[in-house]
Amino acid sequence: MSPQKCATWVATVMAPDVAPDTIRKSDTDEHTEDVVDTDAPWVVIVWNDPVNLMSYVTFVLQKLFGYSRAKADQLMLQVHTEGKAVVANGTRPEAEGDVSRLHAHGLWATLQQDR
Amino acid sequence: MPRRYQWFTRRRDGVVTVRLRPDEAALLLQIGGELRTALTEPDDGPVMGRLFPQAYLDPTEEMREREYAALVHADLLRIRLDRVTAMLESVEAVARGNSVRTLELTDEAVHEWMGVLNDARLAIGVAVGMTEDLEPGDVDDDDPRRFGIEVYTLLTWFFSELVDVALGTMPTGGME
Repeated sequence: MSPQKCATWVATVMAPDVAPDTIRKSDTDEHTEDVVDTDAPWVVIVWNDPVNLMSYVTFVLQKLFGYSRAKADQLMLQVHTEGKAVVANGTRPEAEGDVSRLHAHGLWATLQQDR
Repeated sequence: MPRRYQWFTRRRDGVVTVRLRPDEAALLLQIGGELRTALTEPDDGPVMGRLFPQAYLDPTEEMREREYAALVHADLLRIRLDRVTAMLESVEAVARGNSVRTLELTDEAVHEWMGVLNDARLAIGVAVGMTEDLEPGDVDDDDPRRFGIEVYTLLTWFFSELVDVALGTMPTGGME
């Protein structure tokens, strides 16, 4: 069996910057007037990258969040095909904690407020 | 029929084992050593950027990003160094020997090995500009990336076996 790489439309070593720039634009467009935090929850996003294996992403999502295999596979496939997926949400400290655990596992994760 | 693995096996009693030749152990020793050196002398380059990514994308969250980095990066670095040290200790004896050895891995060791192998793949992947389907045959023999891509490809095979074995230890049920 050939190891399947978590495929991506991000094609180069500079890739990690591609998607964030896309997000950055839309975020700032939408929220230029926001100066005060709302009560909206924070979401944890996992981004696609050309190195992490699909099987490994499923494993990490099961291990860190206790998801069933089916749920973890579904989120992994969303990352793979759509470029990103929201894998958790909560308060800012909770989301930061999740992001740091994902970073410790080598996944490319960010948090943002779901406004 | 259970799949046959080249390196990793989960025994009937649930213990995960890894079977290594001395030359394979020596390669792991070299890769792990280079990872440890890179972590011990961190720079602002793309490899460290990938191992310690930003948590916030929104540029207006710059202060929080700095707080996150101050709070988390030292811990992330310690986790990475501890696990590479642990893994190198266990492969060192195999690399020094002259026969194939089978090592038993505790659950903790399985997670440490996965972390190290994936960190190494991330580091090499960034260094050689790995893409989804780049293979050793795609670059010339004298291409400076050639060795890195070959090591990356071998590591990917090795790592994917461990992930498959580890996935077999996870329950299929859970939160939906």
